[in-house]
Amino acid sequence: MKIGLFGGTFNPIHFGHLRSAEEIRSMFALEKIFFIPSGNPPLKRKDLAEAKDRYNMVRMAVRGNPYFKVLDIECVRPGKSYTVNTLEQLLKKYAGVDFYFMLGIDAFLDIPNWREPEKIMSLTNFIVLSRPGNTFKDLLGSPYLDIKKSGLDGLTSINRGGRESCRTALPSSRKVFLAKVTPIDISSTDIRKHVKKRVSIKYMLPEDVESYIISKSLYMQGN
Amino acid sequence: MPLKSKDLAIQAAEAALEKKALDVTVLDLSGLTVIADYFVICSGDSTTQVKAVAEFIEQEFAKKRIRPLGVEGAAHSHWILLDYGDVIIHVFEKETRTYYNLEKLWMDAKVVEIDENKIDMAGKNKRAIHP
Repeated sequence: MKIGLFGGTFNPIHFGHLRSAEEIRSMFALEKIFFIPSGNPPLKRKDLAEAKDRYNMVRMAVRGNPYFKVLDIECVRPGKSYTVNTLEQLLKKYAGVDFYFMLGIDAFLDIPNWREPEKIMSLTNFIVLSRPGNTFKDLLGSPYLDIKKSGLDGLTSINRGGRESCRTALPSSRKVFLAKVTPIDISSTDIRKHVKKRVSIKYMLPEDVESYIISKSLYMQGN
Repeated sequence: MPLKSKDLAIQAAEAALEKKALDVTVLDLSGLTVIADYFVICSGDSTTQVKAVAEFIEQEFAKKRIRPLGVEGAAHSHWILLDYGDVIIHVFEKETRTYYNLEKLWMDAKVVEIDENKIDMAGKNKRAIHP
């Protein structure tokens, strides 16, 4: 069974997240995608909504899609969650599942700074998504991939809806895939800015998530 | 003794009326959303009044040992939100209320009738009785 893992603050979740996830699900024939909103960090950030609110918003957003599910695994954990721990917990609970950790190019390049990066690379496969502002060429800098210069042409010529697998430079049997999804330039940061300035956020995110933000007066402080 | 959410909502509405809040509305959202079971929405003429109404409601509930999960907007008082979990109270400055139009957002909600005559005040909210 192949399951995608989509982590993030989802502060708030929006159509960019949802559409990318749906395209990946289809491209890789994943049975499910688990959305995993992060918990409350130890030091409170002013513009980060409570874990409970971010979880509720994701839950509302994925409700209509039978392939999407939200997990509270990081929301219920007090303090900072490390990806390696979340992965270990998931592998215990879902034995025999092949996980595919989905993330953007910039996040993938950041993995060496995470806790126990080599362990992470051994626990799950990866799907690295194209994002507006990054190109797959940036992956040349990754210590985990074995892309010789000649392999670059394959990367740069992926069309939308296309995928490429990448040779890894690590001894694990895990695979890294590159996937080109429709570039949707919606960002949670912009949504929060609009809310503060009373600019409409309609059509950037699902309607009931929009209602939730307004009804609970999220992201409005600091005017 | 824990208050049922409907009673909490009605008591909040009555407290708002006591402080001469305008257009006090109680919406029953149960079954419609996870956000809350009841919204109490009211307006103040000025940010000063908004602050006064919100503080009064908070004090009245504090007397009953009921504290909010969160309070938003108190710094500028254009819109103060008192989050009591199942009941969320919104005290708006008039223009801000019109802009966000929560009643339109939640037009499927049932409106809960509040008996304004219960409020013991001279004048404003009492209905004139014509023989």
